[in-house]
Amino acid sequence: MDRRLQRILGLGGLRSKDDERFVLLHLPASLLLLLVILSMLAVFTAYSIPILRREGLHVFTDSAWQAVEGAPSREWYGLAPAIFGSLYTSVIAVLLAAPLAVSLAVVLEELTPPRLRGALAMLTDLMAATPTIIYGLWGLAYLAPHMYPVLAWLSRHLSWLPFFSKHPVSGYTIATAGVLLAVMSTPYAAAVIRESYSMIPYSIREAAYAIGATRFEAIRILLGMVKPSIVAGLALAFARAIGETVAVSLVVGNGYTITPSVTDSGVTVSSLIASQFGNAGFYHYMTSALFVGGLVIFAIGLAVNLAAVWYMRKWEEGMGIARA
Amino acid sequence: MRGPRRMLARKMWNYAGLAVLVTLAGLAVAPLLHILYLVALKGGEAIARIGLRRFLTESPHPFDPSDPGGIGPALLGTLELAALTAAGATLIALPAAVLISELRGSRLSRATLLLALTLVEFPTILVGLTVYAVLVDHLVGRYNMLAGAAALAIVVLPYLVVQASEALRQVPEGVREAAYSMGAPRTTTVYALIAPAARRGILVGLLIGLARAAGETAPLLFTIGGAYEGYHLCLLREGGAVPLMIYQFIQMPYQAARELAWGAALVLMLIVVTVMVAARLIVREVRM
Repeated sequence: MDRRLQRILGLGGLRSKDDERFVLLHLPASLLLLLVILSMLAVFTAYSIPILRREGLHVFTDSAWQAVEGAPSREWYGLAPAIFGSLYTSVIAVLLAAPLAVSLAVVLEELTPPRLRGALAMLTDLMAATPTIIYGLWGLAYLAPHMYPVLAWLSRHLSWLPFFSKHPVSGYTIATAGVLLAVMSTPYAAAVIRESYSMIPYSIREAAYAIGATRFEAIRILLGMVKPSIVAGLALAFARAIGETVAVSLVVGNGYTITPSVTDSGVTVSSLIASQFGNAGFYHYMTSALFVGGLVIFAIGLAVNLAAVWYMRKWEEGMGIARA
Repeated sequence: MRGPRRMLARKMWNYAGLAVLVTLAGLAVAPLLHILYLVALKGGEAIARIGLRRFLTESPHPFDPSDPGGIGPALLGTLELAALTAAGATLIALPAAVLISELRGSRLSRATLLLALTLVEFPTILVGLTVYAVLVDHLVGRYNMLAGAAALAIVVLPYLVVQASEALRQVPEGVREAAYSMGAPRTTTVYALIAPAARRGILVGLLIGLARAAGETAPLLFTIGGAYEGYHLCLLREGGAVPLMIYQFIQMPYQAARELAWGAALVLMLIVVTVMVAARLIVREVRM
């Protein structure tokens, strides 16, 4: 193999022909992963160009959604409500998931008797494995109707807060979507937190008890040590929440407005894609507008993902945990 | 400061704190238990009314309250998609995972792992849109099952790569040294010795990937088209799948359609639970 190629790939130790054959045989698999990511970028760029050329940056900042069949000149698409809704529901989800995920991780690692541990671990695995459509079904049939009285009460008594300023029309609201997303993303965040919590050397626990810490105080000390993994776990939960489609689209209400009120119906980029893409072929620019929306969550998801991976790695290096 | 009252306060804080932790953890798990209960109840009722055999084999009649039919074609579609996804994803994921674990420390290995980690949490709806653009819009010209399988494979692939590379890394170094000392080539060593030694970890990854492939809805929204009438295995035609059917039928204003959706949800949940239990059994064996 070419020396320069070897250096680019960082393969200093290749000495024999056998090693070279091995690398050449396995390189295509790696290239294919790269190809998948690049083709996604290429597709999204190509499909985004028509609307960007027509509306420029207005497509990100406007809140109108005018679909006019047969009259492309009167079509106008602004994604601001959807982008806002995606961020808003995901932030609510992460805020609610944070205490749930931390507690779940600690209870599993620290407080569950060994006999129950397997069953509880199995349940959390099942939470992560349960298809999102099942969560959506539950949200549609149970959560949303039961959220309605709660949200109505909140808007009656706390309407001076902008978050509860609108009286809910139904249970299909931004708040419901946020709660459902929190439930769905909790096991993922909990898994990340659990993993690093279990890596803490036992001697530190012993040290905490030796100076007379109570159990809860010891847990607080240990949680302080895994703070970076809590951040990373929540970042993954956020990335998961912002990309979630079917469950959200069944409960968010699909109201196309920007409002701080969580008791109002809203829309997210992915729920917009789910509800509009099937009909987008009837219009000239709608498909392109939806792909731009995809590009936005693509960018946010990628940024959050990379930040989380980078953060974890930095922390692992700091802790002296070797990772190949 | 060290008096008994201070100690009592700390004890109270301890119990209060632990109680809050346990309550919140219970709150995190409670929705799943309620989901399992509700799906079993509503799905069970629907299937009992229609009859298990008819529910699993017939085509759906979402507009006919007296005879809703079943989910047969959609179920076949899901099995077809899952099989294709597993085959396709494994063929690519295994070499990628081998590359990551065998060349560990190299830039190539780190870059491949980073690509997989980036893809693993990618919004699945975007994968669906990409495959729509390439396979539906440009190459085939209509919704087709192949596009669905490709989208699912892309969703499952990075997950499998990460899982398999972790499993391969667990294999003791001595196995490799023994093979080299006997003059075995590197590729033979990996596929004849190291991969078989890591087979349980790889299998668990594959099983969980399969469970995901069976349950994902978003990648199928704009790829397979959602056709539920009549059986076929043709890859270049529209087809159905259980999760997509649930999504479409639960939004219809017909009683029969909803019954079908709940029954389908129970079937899907049973598939997922079975796969998860199987995975758990394999992992437990590894520990022993």
